[in-house]
Amino acid sequence: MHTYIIRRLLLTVVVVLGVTLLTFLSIHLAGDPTFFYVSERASAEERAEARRRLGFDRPLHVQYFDFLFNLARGDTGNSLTHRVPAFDVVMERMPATLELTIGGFLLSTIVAFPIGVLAATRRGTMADGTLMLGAMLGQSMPGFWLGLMLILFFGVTLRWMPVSGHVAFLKPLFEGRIDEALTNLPGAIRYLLMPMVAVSVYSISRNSRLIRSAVLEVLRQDYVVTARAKGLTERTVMMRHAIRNALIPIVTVLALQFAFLLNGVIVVETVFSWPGVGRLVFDAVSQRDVPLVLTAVVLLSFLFVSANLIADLMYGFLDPRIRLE
Amino acid sequence: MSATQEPNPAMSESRISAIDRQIDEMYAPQTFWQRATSSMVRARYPVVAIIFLTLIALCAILAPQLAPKDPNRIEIFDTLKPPLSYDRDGELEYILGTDSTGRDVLSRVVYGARISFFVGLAAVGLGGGVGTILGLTAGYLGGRVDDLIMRLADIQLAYPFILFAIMILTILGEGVLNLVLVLGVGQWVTYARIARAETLVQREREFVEAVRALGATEWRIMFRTILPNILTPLIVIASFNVAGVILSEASLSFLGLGVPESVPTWGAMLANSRNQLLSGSWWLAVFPGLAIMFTVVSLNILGDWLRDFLDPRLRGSGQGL
Repeated sequence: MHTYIIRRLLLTVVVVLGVTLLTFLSIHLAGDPTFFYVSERASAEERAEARRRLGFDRPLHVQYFDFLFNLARGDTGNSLTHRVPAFDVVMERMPATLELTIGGFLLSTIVAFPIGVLAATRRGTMADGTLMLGAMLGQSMPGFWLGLMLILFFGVTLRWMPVSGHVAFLKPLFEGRIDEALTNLPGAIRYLLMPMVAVSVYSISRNSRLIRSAVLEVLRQDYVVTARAKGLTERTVMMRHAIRNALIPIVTVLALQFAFLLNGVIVVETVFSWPGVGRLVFDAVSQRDVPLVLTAVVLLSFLFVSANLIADLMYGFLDPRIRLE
Repeated sequence: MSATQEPNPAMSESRISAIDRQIDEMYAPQTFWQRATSSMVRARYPVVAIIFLTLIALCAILAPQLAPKDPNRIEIFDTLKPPLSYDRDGELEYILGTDSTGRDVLSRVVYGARISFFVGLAAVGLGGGVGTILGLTAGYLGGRVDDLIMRLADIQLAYPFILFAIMILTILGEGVLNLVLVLGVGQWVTYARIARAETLVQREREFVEAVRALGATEWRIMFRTILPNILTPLIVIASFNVAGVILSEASLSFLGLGVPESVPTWGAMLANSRNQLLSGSWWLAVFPGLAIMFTVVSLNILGDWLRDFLDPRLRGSGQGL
């Protein structure tokens, strides 16, 4: 088990390194990034001077290794546009993105579970058909479009919900200001509600369908028949025998949802003018702010890979039959 | 009790041969297409999906003929007309209304089908082709090649696709081919993983051994012997994948990446609708979104049916959903 964790962690490092290399190369393949930091009328000498000052004149591999060594020391270099450490710029925006991602993750899990289990136990009935048709539709609509529809209906027509804006919750919490975080919580949830639904609609639909088939698969097993034959109540059969075993395939998929959620979050942030990392990366790429893009991508990928690692470890915990070697 | 049966006069020769024919027909092996059609009709939804997709495909191919107006023509006196607007002569002019520069929404939705369809099919073709070849190679050759390809796949999976797409498209600039390239690269891992897993199984089968004993080259074994036997799950995945790619294309167009502004896309229409939303111009956001949703839902329904028809083993495995 320990060797497995160590090997997985090493793989994680390899993956994150690969991601940095890919990001680094693609930014430089685009041409000379100095172009963005001098005026159009700059002379050749001025451009060369800027290139030297920004460090773009060094060989690519030197620039890359320089970046990596600094990263290992926690120094990501200054953002070229914000003129402060890139790490700080990303971290400033990270809590808002996390709020949306975690919120969407919780929502998709909490809502999908009852839908999936209900559809599986009522297999073939009207309820099953309706729920699965809904799931099919939810899986087929772009999350950002649902966001627009929510704004239109609840924001513009009914005027129940704010159409954009953000109240910080995680940021004060991370900084130890717990009182402030708690005071902000109701407002934070209010602003979070619509973006959260938009982010998670795809996952809710997908998870419901997966949970339904996982539960159906388990209900076919002999031990469920045995449990019923023993005279256990349907409730006990479901809770103790069926759902527990159905959890294994479900948990893996749930953790992998983080990937999908993060993709959606970046687009949905635009719809609701959410002050997260998604908007930041988008702007940073168009301004060729190399240190900022690299830092943001590395941090986001790290989040990503950690979620997958946790999923793998949960696997062994939930199913003692799986021995991770 | 007579041991022999009297020949029945009603059973003439011709009648017997007619019954024979009927029996033959009942048990005749159906062709692939006959089985496909009857399975589809029994499932009902796929038929609706096929009809809708045919309509959208027609819109894509015949957009210049079908669209009532030039999708880029600006009418400054007809801005933000709601759906079912009549002109001065009392004739229905804008069925789905106009946008903030007076462009006809219906015409733009019709033209938008072009990009979605082309990009969806081309990117899946590209990603599917590359992924299948890499997966097949990894699975068949094993060893270092396998390690290299699969680690590459791991790295790509750890990389949020949208970040990759934003970066590459900002760098390469706009254009349909760049869009296809980025979306295609985003898909290869799925195909590579499935192709590899299936190849590992097929590689050990006896018919592969037999072909090898006959002196076939490695190349021939890979592409003529193994490939046809691993195609089914890949085809099923591809049908869902077209739906996924159309959704991704919409997201990228919504972010303003992808094709130039002069090419109408559903995603870009939604991006433009955002500024008009607060003034209540709902039609700008509703119709392009519905177009995306119905296209994608049709493809998903078709994929579901295709999976059940071609390879019921995949049901519930979560693949391609």
